[in-house]
Amino acid sequence: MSSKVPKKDIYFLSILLIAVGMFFLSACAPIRPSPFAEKVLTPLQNSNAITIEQIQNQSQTFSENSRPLRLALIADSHSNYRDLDLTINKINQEDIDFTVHLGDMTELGLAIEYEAAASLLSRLQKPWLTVIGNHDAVGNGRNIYRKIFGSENQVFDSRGYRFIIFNNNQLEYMDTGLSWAWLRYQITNSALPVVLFQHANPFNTDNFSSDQIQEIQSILKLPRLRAVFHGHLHSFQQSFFHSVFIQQVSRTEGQSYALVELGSHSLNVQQCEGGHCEARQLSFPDDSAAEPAQ
Amino acid sequence: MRLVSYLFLMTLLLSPLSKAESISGNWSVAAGTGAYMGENYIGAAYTSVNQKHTTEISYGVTEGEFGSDVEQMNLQYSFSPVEMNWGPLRTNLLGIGMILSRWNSSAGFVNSPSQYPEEGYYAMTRYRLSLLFSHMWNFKKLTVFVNWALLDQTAIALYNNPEYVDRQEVWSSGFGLRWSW
Repeated sequence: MSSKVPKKDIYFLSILLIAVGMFFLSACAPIRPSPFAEKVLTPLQNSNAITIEQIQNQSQTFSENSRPLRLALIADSHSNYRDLDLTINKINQEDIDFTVHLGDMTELGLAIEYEAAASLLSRLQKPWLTVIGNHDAVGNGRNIYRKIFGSENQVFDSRGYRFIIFNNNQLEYMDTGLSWAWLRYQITNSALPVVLFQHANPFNTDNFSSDQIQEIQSILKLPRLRAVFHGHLHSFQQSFFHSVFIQQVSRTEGQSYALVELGSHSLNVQQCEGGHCEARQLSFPDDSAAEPAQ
Repeated sequence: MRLVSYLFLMTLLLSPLSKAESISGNWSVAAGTGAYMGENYIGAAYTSVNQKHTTEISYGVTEGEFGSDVEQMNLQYSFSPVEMNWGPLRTNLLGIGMILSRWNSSAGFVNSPSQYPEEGYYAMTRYRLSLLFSHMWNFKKLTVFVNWALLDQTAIALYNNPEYVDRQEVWSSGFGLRWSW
């Protein structure tokens, strides 16, 4: 007696099995109403403000003899989740105080892209902050950013430094403009040396008009400003503008990130790529030396 | 007015399909939620005489959390090759298709790649394509369907990072009804 199953039945059973599998999948999959909407499934809300509070609480446990403050910087992960994940693994092995993602964690500012990035960044074992990038601000992206991370501009003081997170995506905020006056106020009125995190490079002629570049240059000359960290151009680069150190951080592809150690009068930067780190020690010029932390 | 124009245009575009198939295909009205077609959407669908091809045009709205609602037009096609019948109840086990969604918005850079000084800097954000899978149960004039969709951007991310994307989280499920006449 032949046990051969007709081809038609195999075809039908295969479809039936796939259909049953899809049933289970659909039972578990969330209802996402629209690719363009602000609705996100991540539990994170106003994450930057919560993290800032956490960093400030931690800083109270440090004494004057504690090691200098250490940060990790990543940028432009876009939808390259593999390299972001591998970079996070490497950062988790470093003795740092917090990490800053310098923007462009998405490609099109979609809710589902924000969810994927936030989910991976939540694997960082130390506190982490984000800066909004130009890609993150496309479409409804800036609304989604505000919902998950809070205001695009933040300021906080910790361990003898003032840190400013600043949205400098000029083209994507043409309708509202950027908060240059706010930035100038936060730097001018700081009793502490200032470190600025932003996405775009400060002198990008694609982003800024010549008048705006003059405005930026005048802000960068403010005496309390020590360093600017930014992403956007996907490669490492270091420069000085007068006494201000400017570090451009590469995209995460190749597991690139930067480590920064902030002393009261010096700065130690390591540019890491593919498991290899290159260190550079810099001293702040004497005329702008920071006051010791209180 | 814009909605009426879209529906009129899409009906014109799709009308050759209905003539090509047969005079006895079914037109139906559809309403549903999710699968990237809107929190609530309504539309018109045409199903071929052999019940294997369905084309649907719909208008979806999702409540905006920061002011204006998200409005979109969807053009959907699905092919359901296998069906089972139990008396008057017919089930299309697995449909596969595509959804093209167009966002009716003037938000920043939605229209845009060319607005950036470097042409083509941003990918087109107004249109999104989704891969669609569906089940349908049909009883007389009523069809109940379950959809789930995978967004193009997520499919690309899955392809590039197969081990680093949570596969369950990337799907959007949805369901709805069609009433034919």
